[in-house]
Amino acid sequence: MMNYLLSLIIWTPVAGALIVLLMKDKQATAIRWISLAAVLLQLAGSSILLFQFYQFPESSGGYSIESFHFVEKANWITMDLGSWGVLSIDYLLGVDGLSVPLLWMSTLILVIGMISSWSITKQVKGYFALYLLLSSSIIGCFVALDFFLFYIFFEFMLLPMYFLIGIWGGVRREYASIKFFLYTLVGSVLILVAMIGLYISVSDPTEILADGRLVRTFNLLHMSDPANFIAGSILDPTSLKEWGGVSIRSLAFLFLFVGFIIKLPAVPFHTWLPDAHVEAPTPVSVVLAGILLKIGGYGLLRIAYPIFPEAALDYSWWVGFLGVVAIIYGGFNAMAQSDLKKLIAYSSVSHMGFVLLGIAAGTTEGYSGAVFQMVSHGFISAALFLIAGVLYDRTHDRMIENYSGLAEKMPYFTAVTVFFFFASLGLPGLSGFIGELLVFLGAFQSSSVNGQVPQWMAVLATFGLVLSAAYYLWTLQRMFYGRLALREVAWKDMLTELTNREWLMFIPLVFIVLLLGIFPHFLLDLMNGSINQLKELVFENGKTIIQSLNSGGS
Amino acid sequence: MEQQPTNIWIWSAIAVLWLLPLLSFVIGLVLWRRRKDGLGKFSTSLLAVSTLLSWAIFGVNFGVPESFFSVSWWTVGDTEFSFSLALSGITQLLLVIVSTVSLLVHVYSLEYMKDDPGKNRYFACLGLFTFSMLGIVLSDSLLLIFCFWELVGTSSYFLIGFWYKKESAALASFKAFLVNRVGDLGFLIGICLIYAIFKTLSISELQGMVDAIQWKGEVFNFEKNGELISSSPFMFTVISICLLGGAVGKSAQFPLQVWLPDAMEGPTPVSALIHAATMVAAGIYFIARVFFLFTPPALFIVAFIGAITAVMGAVAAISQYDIKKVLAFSTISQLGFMVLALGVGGREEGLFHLATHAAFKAGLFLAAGSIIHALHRFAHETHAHFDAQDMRLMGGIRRFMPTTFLVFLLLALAISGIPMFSGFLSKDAIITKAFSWASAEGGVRWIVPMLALFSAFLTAFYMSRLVMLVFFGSNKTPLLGNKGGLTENGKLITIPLLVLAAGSLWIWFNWNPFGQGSWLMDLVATDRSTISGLYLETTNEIPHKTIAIISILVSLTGVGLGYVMYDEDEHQAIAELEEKTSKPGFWSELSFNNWYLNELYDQTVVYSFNQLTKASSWADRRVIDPVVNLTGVLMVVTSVVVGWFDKKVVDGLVQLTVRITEFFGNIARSFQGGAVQKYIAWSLFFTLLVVTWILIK
Repeated sequence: MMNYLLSLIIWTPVAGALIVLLMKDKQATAIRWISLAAVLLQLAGSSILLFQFYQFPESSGGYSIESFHFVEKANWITMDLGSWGVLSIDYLLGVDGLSVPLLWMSTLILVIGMISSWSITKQVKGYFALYLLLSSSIIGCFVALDFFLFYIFFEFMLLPMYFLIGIWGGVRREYASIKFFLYTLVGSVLILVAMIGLYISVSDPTEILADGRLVRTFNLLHMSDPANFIAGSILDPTSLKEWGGVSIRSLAFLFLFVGFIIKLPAVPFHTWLPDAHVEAPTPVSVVLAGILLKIGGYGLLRIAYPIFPEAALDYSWWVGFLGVVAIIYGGFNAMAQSDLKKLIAYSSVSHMGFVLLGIAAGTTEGYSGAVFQMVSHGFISAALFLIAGVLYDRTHDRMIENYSGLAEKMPYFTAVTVFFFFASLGLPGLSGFIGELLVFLGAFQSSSVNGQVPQWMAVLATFGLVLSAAYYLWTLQRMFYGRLALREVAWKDMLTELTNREWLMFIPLVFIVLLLGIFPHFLLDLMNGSINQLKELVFENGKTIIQSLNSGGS
Repeated sequence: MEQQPTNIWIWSAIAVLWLLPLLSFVIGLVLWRRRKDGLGKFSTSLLAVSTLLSWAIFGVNFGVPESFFSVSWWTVGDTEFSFSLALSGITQLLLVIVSTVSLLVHVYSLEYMKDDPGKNRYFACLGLFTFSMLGIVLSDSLLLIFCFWELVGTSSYFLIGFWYKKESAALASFKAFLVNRVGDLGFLIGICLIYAIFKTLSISELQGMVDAIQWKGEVFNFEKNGELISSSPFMFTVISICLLGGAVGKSAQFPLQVWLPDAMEGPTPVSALIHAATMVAAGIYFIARVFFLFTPPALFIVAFIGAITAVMGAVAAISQYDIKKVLAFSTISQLGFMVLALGVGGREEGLFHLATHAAFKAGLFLAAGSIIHALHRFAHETHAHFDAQDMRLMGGIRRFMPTTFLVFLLLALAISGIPMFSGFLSKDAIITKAFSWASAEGGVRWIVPMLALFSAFLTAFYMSRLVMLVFFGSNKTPLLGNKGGLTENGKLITIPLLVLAAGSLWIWFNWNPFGQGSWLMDLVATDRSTISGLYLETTNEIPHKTIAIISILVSLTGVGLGYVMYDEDEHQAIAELEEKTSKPGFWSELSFNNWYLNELYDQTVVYSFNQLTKASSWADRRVIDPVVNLTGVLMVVTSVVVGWFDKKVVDGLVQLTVRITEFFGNIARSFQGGAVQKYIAWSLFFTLLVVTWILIK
């Protein structure tokens, strides 16, 4: 069974969704429990995987399929294209130190989102079926090692997400869901184009047909090895083809890059996020901020950077710059919001900027910081959206100015809020700090190690810490401190303390945020090996390609 | 680097004394909402154990060389970040100061916070603070110091905003945290730069590397893991200025001192512990720990920041009417004094002043709190409403609260730099150091000792004013007059006061009340490193006697002037005179409003911050979103157009094609008839058509 653990984690919710679909809309309770069971099974599976992973020796050697665990491989589609070779798409799954933390984080957030979904009463059957489909496709993204398979999962996420916002959302849900859809669609198209280009250019080194024809592959690991590019193909790193003065490889990198940073999201491709969050129901916000954004960062690290390392090095200045812009611009925008949920959404934009900056720095600290930040932000942002949800559930109002002095009325809720606000503003001892610290260490170091990110960018980025302190503490001061004053008198009775179900969601998050903040090695040890491999791969391959191009050109 | 064998007993004692306050915090957190008493006493007894242990370590370990404790904390890539602690003279001293003041404040708070419904929360926060402060003291890693640095800031935030229902308290805590964060950016940048060069954040390792630096022209060379690394003195100046930023925030130095006066919104014992004795002194402690990184230009800046702050704080203290505000500005000024000491190379002198100041300033705050507490009680009993911190409503308190008066008087003399008290010894040491520094290098440096003397004068003056206004003259409290009703506080309040007053006598620091320095300075001394060695240590020894006489005279003048000006009758006369000369003078307004720094920052920093906020939000709503929406609309329009095109044009074309085909079909059919002439005619016709078309085109 261990051999198929990843498949089980992916497909359990689909099975759950099928059962749910067979049930009647009236059996709401049963539907909820079955759905919860499905995501709990997922969490159990990923926990087994996680504990097994701690036992494995740190992966050494290069970045290849050997450094992955729980690998599953099956031929999925094989098509003979005549003289053009053979098209081969694999059902290829596997995890390494980069994906395991994200995978486990996702399964936990999915469970918490499911608990939060308990209060959904509209079209229960459809909602839970879609939620379960979403769960499957998310996990698929993190474990697929075949670009085509990844793309299928990546695209498939869009469908449940669109409906979850569009049907169960707030007042402007149609606008938000269409905006989300269009943005993501543009990203998908760009990724698709790059994928087709890669497919034309890469062949499988392990399988060459007897008659000398090539086997064309979508295997991400094959794509990450420059030796596997077919000589003379459009993305061949040894002889750059140009198109309008830009090398096609750079162009393909940019396509992938933009495709993924729309998901991340980075300025200026971020405006779908606040709208989607504001309109989405709480659990969908939780999943969206907690997990979906990370797929953008994961895509950069798993796909864009290893496959086009020289372009990644070339553009690192711009990547870092976008990161800094996101940190500052997102922070200022968060400052300007009067809707609590929008504020948290913009703070996500700002915090995801650290991911870009860390990746751009290209040092071990930078990469580790980026991944750490993604995992930590997954937990923290989930909690923050739950906090907004707690208020919204009680009063159907999220406007900051409509509340004051909540600390008096809901002391425990205030304590939880203070905890997560401080976690998000980077208080040492909580997980948010470590990610940001590592990104800064990496970014400041970069100029003396590899010259990818200048120090002034890092200096500018530190200003994000002041911004996050400003908007969170200002919110605390306005909403929670002072005398109790609410827009409607009736709210006073509605604003009750946290229920047991709500505690059930917050407690694991509190625990993990503390754990990762005080003992970050639980996460760092998990990913150190893989991050190092990835860093070496990008840096070495990138340098080699650039050098060979320079010597070839001169 | 050679390491002393780790002494297991000492380190377990340290672990216990450090973790007990954390235990107090955790238990407080659990019991936070229970309205049960007893947590305070429990926390206090935990603190008592901590204090005993810290004194024991101080005694047992006295004069023993540094020892270290280090375990691996986490690893990223190949770099290990260790959880490392150090125990040295300076650590032992600070352990004693922090735990003792914290214990006294705990005891005092048992009475002071007795009737507050949130007292469990209060003691929990005190526990968190004490734990984090001890963490700063014990850490041997810049990263750890930074972590605890932020944690003390956070506990300070919670305690300033302890009475969160008060709008002003909530605002003050927000401001304190934010201003500190600005300073901490410098700290963080400094840490990152150090890491980028040295690949380590351990202070003792850093010191080893810096000591081994070879100075070659404009380059520093040193080895790290067998690798030769080069850097420039300029880089070290940048790093030390960045680290200074952290200290400037936490220790309320110019230009970030604006948060400390507002921080007085917190309960008074908190002001004594956090905003007078310990946390705000952390900046001085921190600079002293990393003193080996500071280059001469950086120290020059340090000296001037300290001197400017010392004078600015003292000037602002002159005209305040809120008793706690006077003490807050006085704290700013005294911290400036310590920073000044560091800047002129007087690391030991600065730490000495930190120690003496911790005792007398904590005492002053607690004594002020004693008055406030008594006045509150009086107001509560008589149902009077007045501001219990306004000195204009006090006067003659010495008759009602003799113990508090005695303590306050002694401590005021100590801070004013009168001989027989600790304050004289440490201040005199600093002023002496500043003079020798200035005389060795000359030039603008002379400004620093002059400002130091000036602020010493001002200190004596405003303290004398405060004592006169509060304790002498007739009482002006509503309903109180010269009748009874205002009583001294209980033992839980007076005993800590007496302890602190006793601690401010000269005898603990130097047997000679007019002596030079203290044995404490030898305890905390370290070797000067290469970098500060660059700083030509040609101190031009100025005879200590001369300086001592000058500074005594300056202090006495200040005290005397204050006494004369604020003696009741004289004061009346002066006040009337001022009223006649209409508006309050420019200087007194400047002083009362703390140099208008708040207004200045509101107009500049806060204003531009708000403008940037608006601009970003505008850009998002009016630039990026419309582009997105336009794209969306264009897509819809395109699809409509395409749809129309599909329906009308494409479909039409198809139909047209069908028609044309039919038409030609008919024609073709007619050809089948076989008339050759017709073929020729049609061919001609088409040829003509094509030719005409070409010609027209």
